[in-house]
Amino acid sequence: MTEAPTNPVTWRDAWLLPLISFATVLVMLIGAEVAAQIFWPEQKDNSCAVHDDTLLGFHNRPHCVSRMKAAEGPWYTNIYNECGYRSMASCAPVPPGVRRIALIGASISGGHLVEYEHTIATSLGQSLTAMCPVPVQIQNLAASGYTGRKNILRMAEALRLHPQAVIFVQTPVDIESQLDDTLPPITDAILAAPPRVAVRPRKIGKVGLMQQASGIVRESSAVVVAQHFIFSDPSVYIPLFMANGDKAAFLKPPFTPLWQARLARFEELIAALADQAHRANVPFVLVFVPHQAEIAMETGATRPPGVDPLAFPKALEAIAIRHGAVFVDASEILRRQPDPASLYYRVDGHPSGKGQPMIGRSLAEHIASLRPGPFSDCRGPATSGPPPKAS
Amino acid sequence: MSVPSLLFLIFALVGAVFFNLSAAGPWRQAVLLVVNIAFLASFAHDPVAYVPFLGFLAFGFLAQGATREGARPRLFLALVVLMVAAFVWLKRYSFVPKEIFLAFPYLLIGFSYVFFRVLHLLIDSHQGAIERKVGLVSYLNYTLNFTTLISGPIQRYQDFHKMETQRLPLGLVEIGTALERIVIGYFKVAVVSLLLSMVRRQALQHLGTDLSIADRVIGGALIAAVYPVYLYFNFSGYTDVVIGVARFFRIELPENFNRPFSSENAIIFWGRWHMTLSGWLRTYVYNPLMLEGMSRITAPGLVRYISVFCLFLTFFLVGVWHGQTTEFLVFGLLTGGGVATNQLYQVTMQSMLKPKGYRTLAANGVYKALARGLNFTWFAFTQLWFWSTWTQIADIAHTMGPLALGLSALAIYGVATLVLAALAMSRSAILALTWSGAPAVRSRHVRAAQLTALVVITAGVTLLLNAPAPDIVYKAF
Repeated sequence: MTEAPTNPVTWRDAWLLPLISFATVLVMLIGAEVAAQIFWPEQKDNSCAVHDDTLLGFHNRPHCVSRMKAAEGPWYTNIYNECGYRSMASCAPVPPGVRRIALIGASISGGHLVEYEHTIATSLGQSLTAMCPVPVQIQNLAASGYTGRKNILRMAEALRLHPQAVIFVQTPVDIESQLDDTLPPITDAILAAPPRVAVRPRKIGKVGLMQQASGIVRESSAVVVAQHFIFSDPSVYIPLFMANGDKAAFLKPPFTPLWQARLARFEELIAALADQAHRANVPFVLVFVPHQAEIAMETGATRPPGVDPLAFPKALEAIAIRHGAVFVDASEILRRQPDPASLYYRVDGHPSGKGQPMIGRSLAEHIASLRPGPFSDCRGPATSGPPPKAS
Repeated sequence: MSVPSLLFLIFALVGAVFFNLSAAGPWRQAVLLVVNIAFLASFAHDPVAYVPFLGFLAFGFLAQGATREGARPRLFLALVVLMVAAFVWLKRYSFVPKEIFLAFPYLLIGFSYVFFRVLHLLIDSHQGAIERKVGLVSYLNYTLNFTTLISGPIQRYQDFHKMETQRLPLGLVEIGTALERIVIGYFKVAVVSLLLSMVRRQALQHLGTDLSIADRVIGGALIAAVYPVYLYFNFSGYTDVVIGVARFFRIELPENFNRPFSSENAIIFWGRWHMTLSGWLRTYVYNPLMLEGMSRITAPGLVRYISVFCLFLTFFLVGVWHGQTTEFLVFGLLTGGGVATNQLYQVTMQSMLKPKGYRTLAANGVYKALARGLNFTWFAFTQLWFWSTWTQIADIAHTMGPLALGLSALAIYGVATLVLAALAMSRSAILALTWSGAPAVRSRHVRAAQLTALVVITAGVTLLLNAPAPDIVYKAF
């Protein structure tokens, strides 16, 4: 063990030792941040996003290509078609002999942070094409931040593409944001011709010192790297996620008044979307993608008391049934994987390039098994697992 | 109150401030008693829960007072037997009929360590090794010392009492050294052992029959090899913290660890691992057994094997003391068996190679490295019965299969040999770097930088572990 120094403390030590400590702190913090940014670079700003829409906030530029990267994942490319959708196929009227599905929703449906080949949309299209007698094309209208009633606008645009089905992918985080919706009432006139006006960047008010410090810590790459390793242990991650208070309360039935209000608002949204789809005579599918904490609880780690991961999807399923929508719970397939925690970016929380294709394939099996339906001539699930759940 | 924790450090700091307000002996004894009782009181709210614990303490105090300096030898022997029996009964060892256990829940925190202290007092007091009569306050402060209550180290009463009467200095250098010890200890517990336990837990979770044999070998090796390292950092970190904290109460606690994994055999290892426990058992079990054995067995061919038997019994008790179940019985058999086999090997090699030849062999660098690796592998193997249950052991054995188990053991041996040799060489190289005639790494300035780094890392990890995990992160809308 270390021994006490025998020489007495000198006046020089009185300033030199604190200086050494201060220099050490600086070198460590700066060194860790620089190293993290070099070895775990991150690019989450999409250069294709044009802030030209008062309602949606932004559109992706047609025929645009951008490169993005999560600190925890690989570099990937976004390629947008002539309509600004993340699809390789043209958004022009669908060619004869080809079926089309439109995907709406936020970041997860948009394939945020994963390569095109690994998105839900791509694996859904590929799987259905393999199962059906004709090719199936996906038009992906989803993008990060398209939450809440913005999807009513997207649904209208999706229906103009004359798809055989519209799929709406949602996570607990998307539903949590329901109460933050500040959009004005969406009228038929707006739906017919959505206004496209340049949006001025919002002025950020004065930020306090503590907020600034917490912002720096939140944005720090070194913190992301440290969290990535710490969260690899579900028994550490789950209690920390549950410490989020109300944000995590969707896992604990009965739902809090706030979550009940969110679910009520979500039901209004589903009612509106289903109504749009039904008027166009297009099947509407609601897909639930679980939070990574729900999946981490399947890895053998102790489940906190009162937690029921099935309660939330059951509530969503009931909403879908009430409004004539097909409900697909992606947690069923994710839960069955040998290492389900690896299907998500641990810190970022989005499904990774491993998790998204799994959701896409599972979704394809559900859609192909719908009887009757536009895909009823497709082969059923290729796997020998339990029958898919569709209501 | 968990040790080490921020709450514990704040509690100790407040206690130390009051303790050092006056240099008067009665004041300090009184403050320490209050701190000790307050610490003990943090573990249970029901006063009834303390009754067996306090009853045992009262029994110990009266027993040592009644048999001081050779008085009533028969009563002394009866009291020793009674004390061991009371310990076994209160600890609810699995071989004791359940019907005779106390039906209500009671406090047993640090009870094993209290038992060692009280038994030592009883024996030493009877043998006249404690000069003055033990006062009640001194007795309670010694047995309930909050810095050593939970997991030691086991201090001799004579050393504790010396510090009650001779005040140890507490200047800037002592404070700095004590803080350094606390920081190192906290880092070991809060960062290193945490990371190691995460690695081990994940290896355990991922171990499955559907894995390839290579993955099973790596997983099995990780599960078995990481635990002793985790235990070392956890336990020695705890010890560092309490040694540092005790220094603020002008108490110098004995060391419990001295680079145990650098040991070349099990006998040296147990002289460096949980040193105060093995030292206690050497004094009160091994030495009396050896004396008794040597007085009874005089045949020259057998004398050298007495120590083999005595070591087996002593270290069997080391294992058994750790827990009440049959797993610990096996842990004791393996620990005792390992040490005894090691002694037997030494005796045999010395007779085969002659002492000089064996010394030459034992000093060989490659031999030492291989021996270190073997000692680590054996310890990791015995620890399986320390941290797991029969069901877990059976599950692991079934999942791994005999081939993967054998290859895992070989992998641990190979990697441990190389890593421990590399560590020994690195340590020598670092200590060879001198500055003003002393190793540079021990200089005040290098240590200031090291400590700051440990504080930054520990604070960072502690903050991360106490901040809610982020939700899905949206950064670019």
